[in-house]
Amino acid sequence: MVGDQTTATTGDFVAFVARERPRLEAVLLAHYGTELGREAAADALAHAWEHWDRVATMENPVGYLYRVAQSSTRRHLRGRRKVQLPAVPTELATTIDPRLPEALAQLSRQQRVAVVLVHALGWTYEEAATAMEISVSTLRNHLARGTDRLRDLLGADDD
Amino acid sequence: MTDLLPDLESQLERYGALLRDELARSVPAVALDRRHASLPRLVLAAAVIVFVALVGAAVVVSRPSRPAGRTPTTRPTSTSTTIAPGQPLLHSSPGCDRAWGGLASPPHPSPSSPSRSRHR
Repeated sequence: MVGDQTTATTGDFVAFVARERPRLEAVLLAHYGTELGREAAADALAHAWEHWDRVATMENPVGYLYRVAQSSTRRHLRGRRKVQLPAVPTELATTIDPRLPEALAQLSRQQRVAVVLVHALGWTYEEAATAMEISVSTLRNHLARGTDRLRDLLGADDD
Repeated sequence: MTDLLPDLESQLERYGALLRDELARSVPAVALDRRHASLPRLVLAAAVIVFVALVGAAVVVSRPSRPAGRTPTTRPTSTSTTIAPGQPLLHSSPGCDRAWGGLASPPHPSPSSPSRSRHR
């Protein structure tokens, strides 16, 4: 009986990871960059497993785990505050400004997450706002300020 | 400046494809890839295991051996197969007396009665 429950719990968690991990990793990659974002996602999923009884019943587990990851990752930020995002390959330099990753890294974390989720990854406002646990209007503010800042950063040398 | 926005959005869309590739390269067993964060927990788990092992060893070592005058919990039964027929079942040694709880030792069996149950 206990074995059946354990199997069912494990199965639920595996399904949860398969379903939610891409979204969680996307948010954390946008927030922390590639390397630290992965570590944060791993920590968050480990936390989800340890507290699965509670996480399984949450309406917005990704938003909760996003907050958990921010708490657990704070101690890793010392010494590597710079966000590392994938570089633009040289063959794509004609279609993507090679400075774009660096410009994204200079945004505030909230602005960068909003811009990456909505404009780069194509999430809806509602999806992004839910994952970030903010209102849609706040998300719009982050998007507007983030894109303005990007334009400033990337357009300075173009003019 | 506003005419730059479509270009920026287009670039962001293309850059999103790079990000998706990066996400697709995620470690499959990412939940098990604890790395830095797991180290304190691993150390804690190892410490708990060592502690439990030490406590267990200490309990085993400190367990008192059977006192010399202590009565055994069970008496030898007649079903013992280690005593060959004709072999004396019990000796009237002091240790044997202690084994019988200080009572007089049972009589030695006669060679013609190897079974101890007859002496009961």
